[in-house]
Amino acid sequence: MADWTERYRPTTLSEVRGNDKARDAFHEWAETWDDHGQAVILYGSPGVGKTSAAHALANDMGWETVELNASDQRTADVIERFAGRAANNATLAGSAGGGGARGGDTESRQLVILDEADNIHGTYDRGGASAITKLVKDASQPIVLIANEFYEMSRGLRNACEDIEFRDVSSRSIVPVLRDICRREDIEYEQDALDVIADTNDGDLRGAIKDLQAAAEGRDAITAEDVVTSGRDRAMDLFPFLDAVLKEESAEEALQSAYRVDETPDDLTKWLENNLLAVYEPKEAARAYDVLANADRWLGRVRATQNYSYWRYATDNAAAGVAAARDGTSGGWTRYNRPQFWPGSNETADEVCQRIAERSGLSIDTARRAVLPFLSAMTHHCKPRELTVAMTAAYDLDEAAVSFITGSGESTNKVESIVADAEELRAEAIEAHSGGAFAGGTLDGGDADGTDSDPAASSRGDDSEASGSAVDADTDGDATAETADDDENQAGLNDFM
Amino acid sequence: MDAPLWIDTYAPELADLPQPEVRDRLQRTVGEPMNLLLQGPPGVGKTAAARALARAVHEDPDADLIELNVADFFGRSKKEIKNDPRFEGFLAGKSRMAKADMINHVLTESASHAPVSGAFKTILLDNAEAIREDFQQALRRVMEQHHRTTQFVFTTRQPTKLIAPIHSRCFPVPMRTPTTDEIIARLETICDAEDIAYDTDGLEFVASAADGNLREAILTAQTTAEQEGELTMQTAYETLGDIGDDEAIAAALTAARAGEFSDARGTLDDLLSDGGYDGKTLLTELLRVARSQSALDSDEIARLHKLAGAADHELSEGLDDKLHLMHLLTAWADGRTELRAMA
Repeated sequence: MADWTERYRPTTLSEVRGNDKARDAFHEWAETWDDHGQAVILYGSPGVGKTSAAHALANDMGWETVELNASDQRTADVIERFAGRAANNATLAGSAGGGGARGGDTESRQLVILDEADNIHGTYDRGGASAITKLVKDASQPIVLIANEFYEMSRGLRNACEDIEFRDVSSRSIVPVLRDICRREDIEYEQDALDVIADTNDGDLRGAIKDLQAAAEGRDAITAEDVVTSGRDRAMDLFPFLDAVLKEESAEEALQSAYRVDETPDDLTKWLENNLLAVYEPKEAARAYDVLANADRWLGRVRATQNYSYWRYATDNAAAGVAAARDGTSGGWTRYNRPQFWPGSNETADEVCQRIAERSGLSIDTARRAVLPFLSAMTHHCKPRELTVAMTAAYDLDEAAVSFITGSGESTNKVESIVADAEELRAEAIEAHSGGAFAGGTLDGGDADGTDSDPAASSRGDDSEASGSAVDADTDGDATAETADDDENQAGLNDFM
Repeated sequence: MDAPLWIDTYAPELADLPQPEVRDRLQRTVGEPMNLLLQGPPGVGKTAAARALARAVHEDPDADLIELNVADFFGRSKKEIKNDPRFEGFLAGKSRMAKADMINHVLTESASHAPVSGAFKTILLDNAEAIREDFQQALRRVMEQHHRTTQFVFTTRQPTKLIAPIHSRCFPVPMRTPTTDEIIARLETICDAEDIAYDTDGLEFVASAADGNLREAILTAQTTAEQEGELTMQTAYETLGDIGDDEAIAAALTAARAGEFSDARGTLDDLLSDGGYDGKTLLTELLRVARSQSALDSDEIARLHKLAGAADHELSEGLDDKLHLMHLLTAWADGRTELRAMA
């Protein structure tokens, strides 16, 4: 008995079901190909009729087809040889008179169908992806690329082509197709049976036809009972999976669900750990952490040994274990949060700690843990002010950093005025002690007093300029100081400046 | 600019180093580019001693003392290192370099530059225990190649982490934990210089609370002086209580015991991601804070310690620190005497 999906493959585009819009766009592309000369990408879930549409189109237009799919090796060389030649030359079967070149009669075209265009990779298909991009750009024949994942293809390829999405076929559109086949195969059917088949194959027309054939094998009538609802494995989304493990399913079911989620065990573990407290009671949570800790230890062993077969134990613990830790089932809707996969960083904190570390000769971690808490306490809410200004000036901090250390609001007048004062203090210190500005440890607290009384200090309006000139002053001063020493280069440099 | 912290303003000169053995050993190396290994517990003044030495040896210590904090090199990402102003100059345009090559490059470059003043310069490798072994091997040759012009000074709290060839190339300078009396003497000097009122009880309290960590003692004294104006036992006690994450950690313990695990987890999350803790340090802190909580009876505390042993072991086996600490807290709140309900 022939495969029904082949026997009832549409021979013309008008027979392609469930994706009318995509079908029309595809037809339009073919009709106008002479004008634009672009290739087209058909993408969508498996079994919605992309390949059928391509072949049906070729049939409608009277074009030859050249097909290259994943079962062929698709190195640059092979693609060049087969598709490239097809894409650029005239056909044997078609009228050679047209020459196949652009502008020739459309009857003589060859449609190049590259199936599974999103799966060209690895050493087996070395160079294939770039060869296709090149081919698509240079071709003088229409090319159809077929893919499941549009974004798996390189951007260059995507940009070079027109794209048409084939959506999942609704079960409402699947049922008429099944009914039609049953009539033509002369099989009696129950409407319910067809509905069940259509529903379990949500979106997958080819799967539905396969199931129908399996159910009808050797019978001349099918009833709802005949339909074995085994269902194909389809990828499960994360949120349903979290619901399944944390609320609904048994340990065994949860484990099966875990296999269907397209995430690695370490990510699954993180997702579960991040969200379980939103659902579990304390007793349940304690038990769940037992198994999550196990899972994490297995992940540690995977990392240490690079033996990825241990992943299965992590999955067992994380999915089945967490489900088993639950006392019953629960319902309702929970807002699940995405876990943090990489440690975040706080740039202000990092910068502050780095400055402290540099000044005191510490590691940044030590600065953060052993010094910053004291510094924060000393300058809590910017009190005492004098010390806060001295600190701001010494570490050259901005408002955000001062606010981070002292706990005062970043945009408050207090913080702003402290930063401004510190700026003055810096400019002042650099001017007054230009020679020794970087000698360190020579200035005393008395300096701060001098700042307040000095009118030469820049006004607050042009802080940036003040600091700019401060730097200049510093460079000059430094060079002059150095000239006194025996540093000839520095003095020479000074002459040029 | 003048540093705001007393730990910087009162950094000792070579002649003032409080430990006579250290002072003698270092003074004997002045004038000779000799590789040194300063070893001792945290906060006793290893880096301060190295800096003091550099000031005594070099006319221009700012140019001829090159400090590389190795923990910052190996503990951070390549991008963070490249953006660090201390290393920026050496690494501009070297974006493809591997991390091990980066530090190698920074070191070789800085070792091969001629000193600005005098005959040699000092490269200070701080927190040397963080140097990975492969890099230590690479360092052997660098140290020999530039021995005439460059003096390497390692400071470390874990000398065993350094390979034997490095040990044999260095003159060891062990630094011991300062005694409480030594710390008190140091605090007294500083308080006199700063004109801060203090009493003996206050100094003693700060010194013994610091437990041999001079840096911590000085920071506590300064914080107390800045906030309270005087250093007495009472003011120091109050200041110490406000500092650090003890409050947050205590809150996490309380939340966990009340079954509010989400709150406890949030606190752990903050401490681990923003507070600079790693799992092991936070575990130690959890236990320390638990011991200081009067609301907990001793059985509870003992039970937490019992569970902590197992959790610590799992922490070192696993990857996710927060997960194992939460495991500990949930198990503890559940009243268990073993970390796991099932064997």
